[in-house]
Amino acid sequence: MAELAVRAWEAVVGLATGLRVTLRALGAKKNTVQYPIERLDVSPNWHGLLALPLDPATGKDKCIICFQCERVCPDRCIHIEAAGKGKERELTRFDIEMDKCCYCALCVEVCPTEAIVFVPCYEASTLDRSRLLYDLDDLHRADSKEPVARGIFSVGGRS
Amino acid sequence: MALRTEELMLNMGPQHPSTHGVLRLLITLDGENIVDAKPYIGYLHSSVEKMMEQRTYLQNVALADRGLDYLTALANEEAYLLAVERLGGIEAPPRARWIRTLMLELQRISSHLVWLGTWGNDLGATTVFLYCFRERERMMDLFEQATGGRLHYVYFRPGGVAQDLPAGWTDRVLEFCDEFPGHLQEYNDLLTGNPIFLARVQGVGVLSKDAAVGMGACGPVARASGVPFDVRKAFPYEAYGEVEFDVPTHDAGDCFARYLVRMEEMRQSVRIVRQAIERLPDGEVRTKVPVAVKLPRGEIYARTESPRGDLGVYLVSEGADRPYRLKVRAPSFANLYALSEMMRGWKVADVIAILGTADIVLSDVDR
Repeated sequence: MAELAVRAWEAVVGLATGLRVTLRALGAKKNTVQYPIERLDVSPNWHGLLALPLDPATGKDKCIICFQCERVCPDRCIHIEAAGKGKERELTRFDIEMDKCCYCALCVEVCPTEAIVFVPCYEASTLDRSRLLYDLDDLHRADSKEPVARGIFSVGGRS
Repeated sequence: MALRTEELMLNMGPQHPSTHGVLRLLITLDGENIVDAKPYIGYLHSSVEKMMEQRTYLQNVALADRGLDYLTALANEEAYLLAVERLGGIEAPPRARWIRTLMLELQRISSHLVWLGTWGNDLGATTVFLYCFRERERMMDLFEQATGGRLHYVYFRPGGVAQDLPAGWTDRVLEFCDEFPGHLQEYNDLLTGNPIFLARVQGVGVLSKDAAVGMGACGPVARASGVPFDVRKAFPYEAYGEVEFDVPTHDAGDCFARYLVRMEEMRQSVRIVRQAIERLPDGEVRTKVPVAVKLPRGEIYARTESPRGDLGVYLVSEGADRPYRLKVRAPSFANLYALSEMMRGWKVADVIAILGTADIVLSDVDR
C-alpha cells in the first residue's frame, strides 16, 4: 500500500514537472516564421543558387573559360562551350543543370577569377523540371527562375 | 486440453513512419511475444562505394557527405578524409584539426537531438520532438554560417577545412553552449520523470554485455550495455587526444540506459566544444593540396567515432587520383545486426521503443 502511494506520488511529480516545462514554453518567444510572408535571411556563406554575374567594370563575363569548374564538379552538371581564338574567345554556352547540382561549392572554390558564385537564394523549386536548366542568361540574372511561393500565395498585399 | 497456438509472421515497413527510412522488419510473433525479428535491408542502396571509385579524392568529400549517414555529414567526411590523409601523408594544420574537433562535436549534439526528438515522437512525446528540433535549428544556423550548408556541408578538405570560421562565430557557439544544458534539463523534465515514458523504456530491450560484444554493436548502444569503448579514447584522431572528456557507460543495457548514455554524451560534447574554442590556435586552416591529388599505392583503414558508433573507412589506392576500392564499415549496420537480439522475447508494442534506441539511419545501413 505504501509502495503504491510512493509510486503514485512519483507519477504526479513527474507529470507536473513535464507540464511546467510546457507552460513555460507557452509564454516564451515564438520560434516559427510564417514563410511566404515572413522570410529568414541566409548567411553570406549560404550554398544557394549558382550565378555568373557580369563584371561591373567591363560589363562582360569574368569567366576565362578554363573549364576547371566543369572538371571538378562531382555531378558533372556544368557544361561549357566557347568560340573564337585568343582575346576574341568568349562563352557561347554555360549551362548548369540545377537538378543535378549537389551544392558542394567545389566549382566556386576552384574558380580563379570568382566568376561563378553563390547567390543567397533558396527558392529554386519549380513546377516544371525543364526550368531547372539554367543557361547563360539565367546565370547572369543571378536569381531563381520561378519562385513558386510567390506564384501561388498572396496575403495582405505582399506575396 | 492445451490450446493450440500458431506463430504469426508480421511485416513491418518498409513504409512505416517509425522506422525512420525504409527498413523492413519481418517479425515472428507468438501471441504478443516476439520470437524473432529479421531486418530486410537494401531499399535505400545507393552504391556509394562504387560511385566513389569513379570520382577524385576531392569530389568524394561531397559524396561521403550524403552517401552515408545523412544526419552526420561531417563525421562521414572525417572518416573518409582520415583515411585519405593518413595514406597520402597529408598533414592538416593545428587550427584545422581543432576546428574539425569542434565541428564533429557540434555534429554529435545535432545528431543526438534528432534521435531524441524522433524517438520521443515515436513514444508519443510530441513535445520533445518540437523542442529538440528548435535547438537543432539553431545548430543548423551555426553550421550554415560557418560552412554554407545546413545538412550537407562539404566543409572538410584533404589537408584542412574549406575556409576559416567567420568572425564572432565562436562567441555564438559559446552562447549556445551556455544555454544548451538548460534545454537538456527541459528534455529531462519532460521524459525522465514521466511514468508513462518510464514504463515503456525501463527494463525493455535488454542487450547483455556479452551479446553486445558478440554482435559487434558499437557506439552508444554498446556503451549502454557496459562496454567502455570509444574510438575517440582508444585511437585518438584530430585533437581528441588533447581534450578532456568522459565516456559515459551504463550496465543495464535496456532502452533507458541507451537514452541516458546519449543524454550524457551531449553534455560531454558541450564540454569538448568549450575546450576546443578555448584552445583554438591561430594560423592556417588548409595546407596546399592539389585539386586532383594522387595518393601513393597502398591500403589503409581509418576508424572514427561517429555519433552512431564506430565508423571505419578502408581505402585501397593504386596510385591514381581516385580510390581503387573504398569500403565503409557503417555503425548503423552493426547496430541493426544487434537489433534482433534486443527484440527477442519482448512484446510487439516494444518494437518501436527498441528500434528507436538502436538509432539506425537507413542510408548508412545500405550505403
